[in-house]
Amino acid sequence: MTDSAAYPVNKLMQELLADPSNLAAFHGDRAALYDRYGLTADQRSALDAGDPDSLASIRVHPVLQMHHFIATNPMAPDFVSVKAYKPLVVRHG
Amino acid sequence: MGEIVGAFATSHVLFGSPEGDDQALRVVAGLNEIGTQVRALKPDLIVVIGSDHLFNITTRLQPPFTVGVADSFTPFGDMDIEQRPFAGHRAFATALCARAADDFDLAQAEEFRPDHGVMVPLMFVDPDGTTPVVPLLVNVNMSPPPTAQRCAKLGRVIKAAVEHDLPAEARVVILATGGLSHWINMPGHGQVNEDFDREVLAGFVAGDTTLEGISTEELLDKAGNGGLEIVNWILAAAAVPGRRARQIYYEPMPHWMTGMGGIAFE
Repeated sequence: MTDSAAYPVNKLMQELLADPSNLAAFHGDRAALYDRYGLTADQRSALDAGDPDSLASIRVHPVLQMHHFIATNPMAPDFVSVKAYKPLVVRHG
Repeated sequence: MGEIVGAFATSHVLFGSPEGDDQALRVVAGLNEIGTQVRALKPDLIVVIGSDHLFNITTRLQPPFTVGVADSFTPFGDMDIEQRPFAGHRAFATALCARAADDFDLAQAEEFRPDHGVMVPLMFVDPDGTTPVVPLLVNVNMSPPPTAQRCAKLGRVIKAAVEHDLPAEARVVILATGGLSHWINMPGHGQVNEDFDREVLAGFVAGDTTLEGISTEELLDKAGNGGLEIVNWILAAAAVPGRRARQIYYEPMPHWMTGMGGIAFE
């Protein structure tokens, strides 16, 4: 799916939600985070843009594009959530 | 000898709020129906055939099939899923790997934090987390992913493992998760192929096994990259040969970017 040029950015994306310090850095000192993963200028600008075309252009895995959405989209916390469904679970019978 | 007392397959996402969304409410009713049926079977073990969404099984190391062998699992917690530990079943998990060894080199995970692909169905099937679970992850995110044929073959190994490697009277439920058609961040993103979804459901209802022969390319074309998870359903069906399924629910949901469905093998 990925290649050697695209791997560092995919590596960052798959370690973004799994590592709270990465997520904090993504919303804080993003340049330092990008430095740590050795991202190119194109990769940095595409991640900053964050739209599907930009992410696809640097070959971010489709599922990892969802991780980017979860990390950045203001509607994600309410949309990508089971919160509203928990009271509807039938626990007995 | 153990017995597979029930097998089920269901989609594994929920989005937003069900308020004012009749389709979402019907999906919830379907998931609750599956939960009620599973609990009525009083399983000693649930084998979940699911997917990981690159939270655990990443591009860093890409095993086609991974069995969670640990004594307990703590959910990853995506989608606000409660991070409450639940029991695994090491004896069965390791026995399955050993029994499969002639044909499959199954990866074993001591650390695996189940994401929504495992947890959303379990939220309805075993909300209190009281039944041991063995997760089997099919890596549909790698290229090439496991084929439908390979999955069917592994389903038959699960049947053999249940029947030969568990104590007498052990009651096992198979729960496949994922699908139906959905295209994730690829051309076609957001579309649902209702015709194909209904064809797939009708196939399971008829007890038709021809879907075992579907190629990855055809599945990708007709159901999208997310629809590759239909191989999990094929795997479950192969573990209970000869059983026809009953459709529990189906909703084509473009606003969730997926076809949602669930079946119970009778």
